[in-house]
Amino acid sequence: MKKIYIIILIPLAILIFLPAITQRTYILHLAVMSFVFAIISQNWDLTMGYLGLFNFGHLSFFAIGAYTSGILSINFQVSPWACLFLGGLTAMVAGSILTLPTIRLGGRVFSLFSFSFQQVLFYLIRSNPMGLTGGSQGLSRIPPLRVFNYSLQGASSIPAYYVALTLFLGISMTLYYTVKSPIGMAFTAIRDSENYAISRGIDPFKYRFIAVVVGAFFTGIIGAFYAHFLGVVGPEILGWGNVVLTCCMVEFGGLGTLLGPTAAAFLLTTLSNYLSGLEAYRNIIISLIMFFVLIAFPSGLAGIFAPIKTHAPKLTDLIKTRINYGERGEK
Amino acid sequence: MNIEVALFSGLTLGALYCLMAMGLTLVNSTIKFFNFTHGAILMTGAYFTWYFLEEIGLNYFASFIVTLLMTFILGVVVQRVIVQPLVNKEASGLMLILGTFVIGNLLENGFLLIFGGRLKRLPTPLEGHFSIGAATITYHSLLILLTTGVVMGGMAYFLLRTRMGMAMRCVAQNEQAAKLMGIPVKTVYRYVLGISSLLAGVAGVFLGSIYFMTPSMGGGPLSKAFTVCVLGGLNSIIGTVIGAFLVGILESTLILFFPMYYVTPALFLLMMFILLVRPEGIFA
Repeated sequence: MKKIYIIILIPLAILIFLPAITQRTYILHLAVMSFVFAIISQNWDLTMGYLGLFNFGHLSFFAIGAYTSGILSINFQVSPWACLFLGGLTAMVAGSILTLPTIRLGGRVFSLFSFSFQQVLFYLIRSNPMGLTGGSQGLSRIPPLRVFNYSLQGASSIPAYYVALTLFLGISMTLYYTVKSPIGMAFTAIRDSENYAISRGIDPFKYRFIAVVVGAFFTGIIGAFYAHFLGVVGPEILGWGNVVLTCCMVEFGGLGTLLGPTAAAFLLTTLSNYLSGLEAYRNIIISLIMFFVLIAFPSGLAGIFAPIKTHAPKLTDLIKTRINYGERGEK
Repeated sequence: MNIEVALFSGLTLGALYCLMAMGLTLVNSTIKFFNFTHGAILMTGAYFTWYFLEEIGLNYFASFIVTLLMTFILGVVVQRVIVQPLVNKEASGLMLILGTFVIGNLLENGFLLIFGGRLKRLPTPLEGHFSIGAATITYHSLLILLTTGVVMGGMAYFLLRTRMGMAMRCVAQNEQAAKLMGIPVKTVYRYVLGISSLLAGVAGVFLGSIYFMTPSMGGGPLSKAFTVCVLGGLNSIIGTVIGAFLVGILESTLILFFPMYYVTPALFLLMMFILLVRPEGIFA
């Protein structure tokens, strides 16, 4: 139990003092992007890992959050902070539209339905309806979030880093306690044995709905933050590359672990940004890594560390007994 | 642009989707996952033909045959490298989807490095056209329809009359029973992926001669093929064929009435609607 706290606390301390350690905007930018993708993959993990419900269109919630808040703040001059919340709310509505009709038709229909939902959304955004979404150019000049006249746009603004960190920590903690709560227990119960869960009085449809909608809400909020932080949003956030990269984060980290996808989001975001100058080679390198992980460790990063977790105590015991034995031998 | 032209080009499109979706249905009904390398294999089909035709200098027919062989081998390689290891580990459908997508990504970027991102176009083997009424029909699109018909006939013969085809249908019906009856399931998987890739390769050759070729040309047809699969029923071959021509004709006639941007989302909306009212497909 204590070891896991150390594993979390050391990176946390580094993240809190990161702006004091380095002022390079590139690193701060990477950190903020990692927060954003970590939150997306955590929420994706909530439905995919904990409920076993493959939501192919999870990134559409992200895009809906980003575009809603961008359009509202550009065209209707809504305050960006309100937009953050409204983005989350719209994504939530989209989540319930996606879930309510399909949830009783089984996981396969749900995956296909969410897949086509995302495709429809992608083409709609690209087709620039009523000049709102800016077509394939995307939205630009999205007004920044402001705290006492400090603009929170771009990584050179340190308050923006802390707002992102607060969002990241807040949402992660909420998800962590949700997963540990009776609701989270119900999620895993439904995943492991749906019939048994039903016989114990757990309504699978209700909990699936809750998981998708909660995930959509948080993803929408972080999408809105992403839009205001960068100031530009393009339809490429729904492109194949991005979808698969994010899905890989969840898979790479290990389904149903929350901590795994977070770590994987940090790793893969950093990696894909560092390699971004290499174009085609970047995709090849990332694909090769993913291929290797899929074949060798099907349960992801969490699977890589699992054997260490089980063998390490035995090893320390072994060393301890050897030392004791040695001491006794000397006497 | 009038209705006859639209109908005929819809038929040609339908033939392409038919070839694409047939492979997807084969894989989906036997191995039970959606093969995301399919788009990339379509692309390799077009590029292989271009390479043998333009760089090596074979004639059209020979390079077409070599392409069929290459795509078949590629499908078998995909089965050996990613599908079979994951199936052996009893991986979920999600991991198979991700795994095949990763391989597809690898192929696309590899071909981008080798051939460059410049737009290419395959030459057509038959030039010239004739007209019926207002519609102008090229010999090339007739050739596409004819070849698709021949391929479909071959597939029907293969699935209904040969031992391997019957083994495939058997695995699709009940894999456990197939194993117990001594059907080599791994070999069946190998042939399934090989043949579905071969069909994608044929579609790629046709697509490369109608539109332009780029390393990422497979994405659009792949997502259309998904629509076809859902429309026609996920495991029904005849449903897939009917669904493919339906989607092709629908797509080319919708362009007459709506802006081009809204046609693809309209098809996906149709797919969503069908998933809600008839999740097992129209013709299943």
